[in-house]
Amino acid sequence: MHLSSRLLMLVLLLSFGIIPASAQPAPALGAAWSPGFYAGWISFSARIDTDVTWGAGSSSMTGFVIEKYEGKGQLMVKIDAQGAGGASIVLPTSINLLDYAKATTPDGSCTVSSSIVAQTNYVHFKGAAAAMSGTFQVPINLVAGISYKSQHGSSFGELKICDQAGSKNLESMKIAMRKSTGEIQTMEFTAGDSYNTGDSIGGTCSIPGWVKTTPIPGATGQGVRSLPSCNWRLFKTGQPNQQKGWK
Amino acid sequence: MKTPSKKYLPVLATLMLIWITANACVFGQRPTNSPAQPSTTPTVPAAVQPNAPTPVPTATEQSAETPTQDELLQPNPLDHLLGMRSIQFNLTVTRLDGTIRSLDAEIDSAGNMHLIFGYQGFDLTGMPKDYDAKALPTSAEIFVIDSKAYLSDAQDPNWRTTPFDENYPATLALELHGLESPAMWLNLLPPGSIQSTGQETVGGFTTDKYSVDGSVDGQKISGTLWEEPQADALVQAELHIPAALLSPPGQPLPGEMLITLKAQKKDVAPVVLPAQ
Repeated sequence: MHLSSRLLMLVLLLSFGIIPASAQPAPALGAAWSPGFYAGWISFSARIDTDVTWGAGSSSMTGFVIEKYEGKGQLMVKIDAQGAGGASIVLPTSINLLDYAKATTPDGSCTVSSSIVAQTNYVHFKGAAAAMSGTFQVPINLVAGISYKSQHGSSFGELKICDQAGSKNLESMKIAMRKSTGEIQTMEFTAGDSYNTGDSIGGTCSIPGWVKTTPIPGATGQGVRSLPSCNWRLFKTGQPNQQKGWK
Repeated sequence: MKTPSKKYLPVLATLMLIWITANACVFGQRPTNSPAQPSTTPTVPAAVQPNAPTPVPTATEQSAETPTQDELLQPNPLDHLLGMRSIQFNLTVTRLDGTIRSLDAEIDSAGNMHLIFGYQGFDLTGMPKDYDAKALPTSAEIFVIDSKAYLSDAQDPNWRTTPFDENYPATLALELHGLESPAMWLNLLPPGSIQSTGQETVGGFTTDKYSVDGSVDGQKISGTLWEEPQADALVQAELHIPAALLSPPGQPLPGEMLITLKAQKKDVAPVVLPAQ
């Protein structure tokens, strides 16, 4: 089998070996809302940092992958007189990926690296009205996939096989990016205890299941997924688009 | 160049990297469709497509208390700008951290687009100590032909034949409905915050000019808008958003986010993919 075919097969196998789970609504924790329409923003920063060293001595490989997500979007919440309601989101998110690896053998070395700048959009519209509390979850879906704004892959080294490694690595990183991008499927919002003025409410948010550290079997290193920041803020307004196109 | 006895090692190294990344990404995750061609990804809302008719909510949608896409993505004057022809515009956002993101666009008479996204400054938190920030791109060039988007890529000889997005105007409209778009902030303002100040010709457009002066949660949003009334399109804007409105709750930051837009009529040459 051609090496590129092996590469693709491995990635595809990894792609399908995933365990399903479903989003569950957060339990009601108490009233944080008054009836009305709220509009505002959500901003988050998420990362995947992977470092690895494989092998030792004359044959070894070391590398890292950094994948950063930065989302800045709109959030809207509507609450009815009974306290039920829900949220909608439009969340444009930029993605930056950088990776580097160097393999060393007695015959020489090969260094590969790639960088990708991309953009995606997460959205959630409507849904059945539900009880709203100080903590609530919103499922989010990708729309239109990933828009690549910049991509660059390179490789150099004495090893002959290194010639094609840069482009292969870039394509592989794009596949990895698509997988991790698709993994963000739910946002959980928690209103701050001391931040609810009636006209403004906000707090922190999280991506359920995101933050974790994954060891790398057979190698030294780990994959660390983190959420350095996730905040939201809503302002109570009279009604949706009250100025009908700003006028 | 040597022919290695362990010829597979570099590829194995690449595979290891892929494997590691994939594992870091997928352990415990749910099944996902490829975002590039997702089978269950919702279609891009017609509401964000320039010149698209606003969808009529179904009875179910109307009864739901959750905001509908109609409310969230109601076409606004910025969407209408994207629907104009034979224009160019620059949309620039200066963020609280000093980084700048911009979009320079040309739209020809057929609606095809030549877009240059600009990136000035990056958050380098957590990057390797010896990482050279100059390696990061300062711009990206995209061609939109018949709604399909092509990324100019010197490394990929096939970029002209492989669009990365089949309906990019809708994708772009979504991007412009985010936190860094004027639309959200203008809709937050209470009635009376946007006042007509007469007419003015800017960029070749005869426009209605508005001053923006209103408060949200005690913070003043100010600026000026120029709207082309025939198309209900925003053609020029300067909007100052106080940092306090963008800060995490209870942690007000100093400064402001500045959004500027400047469009003008232009006899744009037909946008085509550049020859090799």
